[in-house]
Amino acid sequence: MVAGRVVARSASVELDPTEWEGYWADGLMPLDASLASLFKRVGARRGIPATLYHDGPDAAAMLASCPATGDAALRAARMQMIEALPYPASSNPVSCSILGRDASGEAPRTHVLAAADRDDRAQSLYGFLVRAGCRPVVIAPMEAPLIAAAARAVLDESCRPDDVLVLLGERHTVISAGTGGNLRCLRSFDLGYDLLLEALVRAFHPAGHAAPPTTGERERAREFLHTRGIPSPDDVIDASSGLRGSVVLPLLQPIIQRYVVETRQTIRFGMSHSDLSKVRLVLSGPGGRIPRLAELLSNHLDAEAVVSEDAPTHDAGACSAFLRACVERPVPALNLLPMSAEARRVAGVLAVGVRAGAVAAGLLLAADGARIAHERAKLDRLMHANAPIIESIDLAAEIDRRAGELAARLADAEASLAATLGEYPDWFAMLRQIAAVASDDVRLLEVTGEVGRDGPALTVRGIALAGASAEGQEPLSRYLEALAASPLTRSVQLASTRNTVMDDAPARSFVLRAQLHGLPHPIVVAGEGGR
Amino acid sequence: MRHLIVRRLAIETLVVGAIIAGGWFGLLKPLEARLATAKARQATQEARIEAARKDDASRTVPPEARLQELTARAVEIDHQSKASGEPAMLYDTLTGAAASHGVRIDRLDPKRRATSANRRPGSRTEIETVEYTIIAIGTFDAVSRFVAQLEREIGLTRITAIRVAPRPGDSPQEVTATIETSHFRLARSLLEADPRPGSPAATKRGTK
Repeated sequence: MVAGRVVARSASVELDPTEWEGYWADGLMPLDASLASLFKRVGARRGIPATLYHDGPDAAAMLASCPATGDAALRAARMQMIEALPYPASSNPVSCSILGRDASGEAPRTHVLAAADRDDRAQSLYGFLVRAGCRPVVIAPMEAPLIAAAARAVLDESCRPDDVLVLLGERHTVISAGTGGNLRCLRSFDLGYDLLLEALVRAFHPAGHAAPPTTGERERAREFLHTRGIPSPDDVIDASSGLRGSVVLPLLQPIIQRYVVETRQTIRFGMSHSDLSKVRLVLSGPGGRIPRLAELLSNHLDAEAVVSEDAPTHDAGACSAFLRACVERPVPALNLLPMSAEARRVAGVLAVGVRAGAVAAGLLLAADGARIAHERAKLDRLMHANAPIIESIDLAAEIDRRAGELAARLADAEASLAATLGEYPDWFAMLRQIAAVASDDVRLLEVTGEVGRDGPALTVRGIALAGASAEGQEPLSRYLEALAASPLTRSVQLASTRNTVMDDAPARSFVLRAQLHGLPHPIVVAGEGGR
Repeated sequence: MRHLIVRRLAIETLVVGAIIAGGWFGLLKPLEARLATAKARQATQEARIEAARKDDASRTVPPEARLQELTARAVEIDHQSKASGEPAMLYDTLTGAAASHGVRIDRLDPKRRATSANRRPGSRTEIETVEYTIIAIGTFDAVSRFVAQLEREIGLTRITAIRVAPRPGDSPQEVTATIETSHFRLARSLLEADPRPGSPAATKRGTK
């Protein structure tokens, strides 16, 4: 159980390595009970995210150093990994992670950790975790963190140029060398201190005993390896059984020899010089502190060998040093989940993306809807405020329309009335005028007025005394003059005269015609005055 | 497996997309369209208000006052038209006027009645005409006043011809006046809108 980057609780169980083939064949189901028991011991709840490091038979990990950067380096490393695989990469998980970059060099190399496994193995591991009730998030080969740790250690600029780091893992050993932030060589091989452990287990197991070694025997052997290490021939290993170092050493020696050979080969081919006396072996990793191992390697290789200060100490009953290192310095982005799980994971991420997109789109729609509603409300308020003004405008327009119609009707009617009523004389005024200018010596017999084609005209028939009157003017002439002077007449003409007698006095009967001024009807005049 | 996941994801994406598109198309687009319509309506309102403000500023007489003035004029013409156009009222008016001036009506002959002949070309105003021949007897002064009343106070009346002659016989002060009159009347009140198509009112309304 991990809290942050610290192991909070741990539990372990020793398994018989000879049974592993059977476990894999059965899809790791025989280990379900052991894992459930371990989870129970550490108090893991259901659904807890789980990271699994394993040493599956088909798992592979390698360091690829590419003269490229970023995605190009990742693609190149992937291709290198695929080239090295004995199975097709298209149907099996392959994963890469950039560990670092050389500090200098003409074309500084990017160091990429690549890992691969068969998909059916990955499925077995995935199912193993799922059956235990947890949620697998990372599955990676155990070799990968060791390679990553070795690479990081030599990429560190504090690494001495002649130091060769030997990282001793339980199943793998990684040897690396570098200088000034550049990685010169890194080699990983399948040789772990588990072989030393197995040799000790065989030594502890009574000879001729048919039953396989017990868990207790394995725990004793592990404790012995980490506390007393490689024994001397005279060392008493088990006083009760009389087991001595001289019995155990022949079992351990071939393994130590393999360490020596692999180390020498690596230095010879990986470094620029092969003079082992100039190099210093720095032992690290979970097996780095196995007592006397550094001394033996130094003796066999004729090189100085020291144990790194960073090498973890063994603590029985505590979490293994390997797991602690994995928790403290995980390898990012390296994951060999089965392809279906990976597809499910990607699909899950995409589905979350789709849902998040849907929620975002929904929120956008809602925001847009709110904006529209807000604008609509604002418009409604404006229009509501304008409504009385518009009503008064409509009313004014209606009044204007009615006034226009009425004005048109009035104009038409007035024009028609003016044409129809025409211009007529003021008959009353004319009659008054005729009567006013008449006198005793002018007698009117008939007055006729009519409106003809030439306008209004008046015909007056009468008799006037002949001869000059007291004023020296003939009455008819005076009458004519007076009539002609009237503003009502335009012209006055004497049409005919004839001598006659009036009251026994000579007189003239006469007919005179007067053209009169016409006037428009008062209603027409009022209309014109009104405009 | 991978194929199924991809298909499920594609379907999910499609469904979500369809729901979002449906929501946009079914809810937001109509709302947006209604908002655009409301904006256009509001802009029209503002334009009308602005135009009305300018109109008001340039107007010398308020529309109500103008309508009132025109109505008063129409009422006056209608009143005059009625006074000279109703046959029964006209008869009463003529005889009453004669009596008030001490004039005897010897004869009162309606001559003819015409309508369409008085219409101006292009005009829609129909004017009906009634013509009378009135033979009145009285003093010259009384007949003069009767004539004055005829031509000034009996609506749209015109005296088309007049003949005044002393009355032969026992009454040398009296005259006989033969008066020919025309009395006009609008066929339709000016306050009534002309229902015929093409009338000035109808045309104006059409262009509003």
